Parts: sequence; C-alpha cells; structure tokens
Amino acid sequence: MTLTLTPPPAGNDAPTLRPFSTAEYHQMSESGWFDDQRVELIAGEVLVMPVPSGPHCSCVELTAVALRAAFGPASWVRMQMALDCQQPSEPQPDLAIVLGNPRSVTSHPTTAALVVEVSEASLEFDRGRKASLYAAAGIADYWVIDLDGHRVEVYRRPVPNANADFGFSYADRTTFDSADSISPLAAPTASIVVAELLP
Amino acid sequence: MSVPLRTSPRRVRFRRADVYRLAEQGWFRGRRVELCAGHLVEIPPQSNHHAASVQLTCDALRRAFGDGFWVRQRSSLDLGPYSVLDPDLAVVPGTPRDSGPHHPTTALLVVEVGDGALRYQQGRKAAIYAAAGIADYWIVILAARTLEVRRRPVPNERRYAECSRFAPADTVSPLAAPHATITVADLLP
Repeated sequence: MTLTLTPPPAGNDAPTLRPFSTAEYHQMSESGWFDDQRVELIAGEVLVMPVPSGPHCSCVELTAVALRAAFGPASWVRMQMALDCQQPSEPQPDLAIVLGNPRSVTSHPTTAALVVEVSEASLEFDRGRKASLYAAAGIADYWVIDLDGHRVEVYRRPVPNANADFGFSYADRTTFDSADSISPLAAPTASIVVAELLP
Repeated sequence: MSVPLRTSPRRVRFRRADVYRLAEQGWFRGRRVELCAGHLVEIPPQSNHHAASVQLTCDALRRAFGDGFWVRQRSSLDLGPYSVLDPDLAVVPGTPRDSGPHHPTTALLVVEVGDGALRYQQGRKAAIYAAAGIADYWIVILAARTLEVRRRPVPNERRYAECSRFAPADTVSPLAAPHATITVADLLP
C-alpha cells in the first residue's frame, strides 16, 4: 500500500507526528483499530472525539428534525458521518445536509449544503481549526451551536486567509440568540427559530 | 457541572503492539518512526554531522565499556505499552547473541545526538526515559558543542533530578563504567 507524502524535510528539522493518509485511516478503521473510540481524521492526525453528553445528543436530534423540515425530502441529513475534505481530512460533523437522496451518494460526500457542529467543551476548536477546515472545503454555510451559551454562530463566505490553519476562514460570522430565526443558505424560504434546536 | 472538560480533541494513542503490526505491514518503510507516549513521531533524516557524532560516540563508548556490553546504535528500547523509542545509542549488558528476540526494556546508558530534534530529546524523550528509570541519559548537543548529562530519574514525576553540562575539554564517566573517562571532545565531529 502506498502513501502519498510531501517530500521529506531536510536533515536537522524537528520530528513531527507521522501523518496518515485517508487510505491508511480507512484501513486502520476497517481493521478494527478504533472500534472502542469515535475518531476523525484532521490534517493527517487521528483525533478521538469525546463521548457525546445527553444534551449534545438531544441537540443533534432536535436540529435534525428542524433541518429535515427546512430542506424537505430531497435531501439527506447525515449525522456524525464522514465528510471527505481531502488533504487528508475526514471529519464527522454532527450534522451535514447533502442534497439528493442516499442512493445517489455512494462514497463519502466531499461537500455539503450546510454543516452543523454542536459544541460544548470543543467550542474553540469548532470556531477555529474546524471552521478553517470547512471553509477550505468550500462549505458555504457552517453553524456552531453553542450549547452553554444557548445560541448559534453562523459562519459564511469562505475566503483565503494565510493565518488560518487550512488557509481559509469565514469572512462573515453572525450570532443568533434563542428568539432569533435563521434561514439556511440552501433553503432560504425556511425559517428556523434557534430555541427549536436547543435542548 | 464542575469537572473541567477537554477543550480540544485529543489524538488517538497507539500501543506498542499496534506499531509493531503496522511496521510488519510495511507502513514505515523508508521512514524512521518512534512511538512516544502513544503518538507516532516521524524522525527526519539525519545530517552528516549527526551521523559522525553517533559513530564517534559509539567508538568512545565501546572503549569505555569494553567486552560484555552491547553499544546499540539507533535500535529500539521497549519502554512500556505506549512508548518504543530508538535512541541514537544505548548501552546494554550482554552481547547481541544472548539478547533474545525482544528489544531491551532498559539500558545502562542512553545517548542522543541533538541537532534539529533537541527540544524533543530534552523534553518528551527525557520524560519517557526518566519514567522508565534510565539512570544515565546523555545528549550530545552539536550546535553548542556541549554534553548534557541527566541522572537521578524520578520515574513517577517523569523527570531527572540532576542535569549537568560539560564543555569539550571536560571528561565524564558513565555511571555503569565509572573507571572509564570520556573526553567530551571525542564525541563531537
């Protein structure tokens, strides 16, 4: 099995974590290496996701219900399933809306009409590194549900940003409180009240 | 909820058995990899100065320890379920023939030659060597032309109680070969 790597650094460089390709990550998953852990691949690093709390699980379900109503039957609300962001990264966003039906999506999708992460302790990571990853993947609409803050942060307009982890960030960030309504970019006629998403 | 929650995801930890299996499958062909507290760390190729220093140090240690000891170059030490490190040099008692099929789990003396990996060797590696109770841990610092000697490991604190520095003209004796004196300059290219 071959591994696509960037050229090795010149001598005298500091050691680095050995990066994994998507193929290697899949091979390890299929061999059962991660059976007792929930993992994602972010920039060649395999990261363990914490076991979701009760409120986290409730929020995911409430959001799924609201998004199914907003997008209608011609879309797939994928929950904690892989999103192939290349380079190599394969996060598992809490929710991702993929247009079309499951029969037409035979490998992990490379984009989504909307990605939603439900955040408790991972808020900074979801606002920072994860946001840059999704911006780089061209995700036009990225929401972070701040459970403790009872609000939703909406990130839009991915733009190049040399200071961001993956070279891109979102130019627009808007915060919506419980009483506010949000319309997904890809379902502009729908209006979702933030309180409907919160447990 | 008063228990502090982790704020960023943690990397998956690999175990020694996992890494041996990956190695057998050829995952690390052409790359040097160490398992450092569960993380797979890739060591970049070495410079010629580094290679020269490793050889010079090997020769000096052979003279110091004599027969009945094996001066292992860039070979593995099995330091626990989550750490398999490959120090530049490690001195173990016995000969290659009577060492058996498994890597040693300790060493009388570990020497790392430090250039680009110096912070890693002084930091995370030193912590693992201390936790494993390696009594004598040296780092030959190429750029500064000094030798750092770490002794008196405190395993449950993963640190060494003593760290001394020696200049090229100084001499040092390994704890396990106290009759021998090694001039630091002999280790430097």
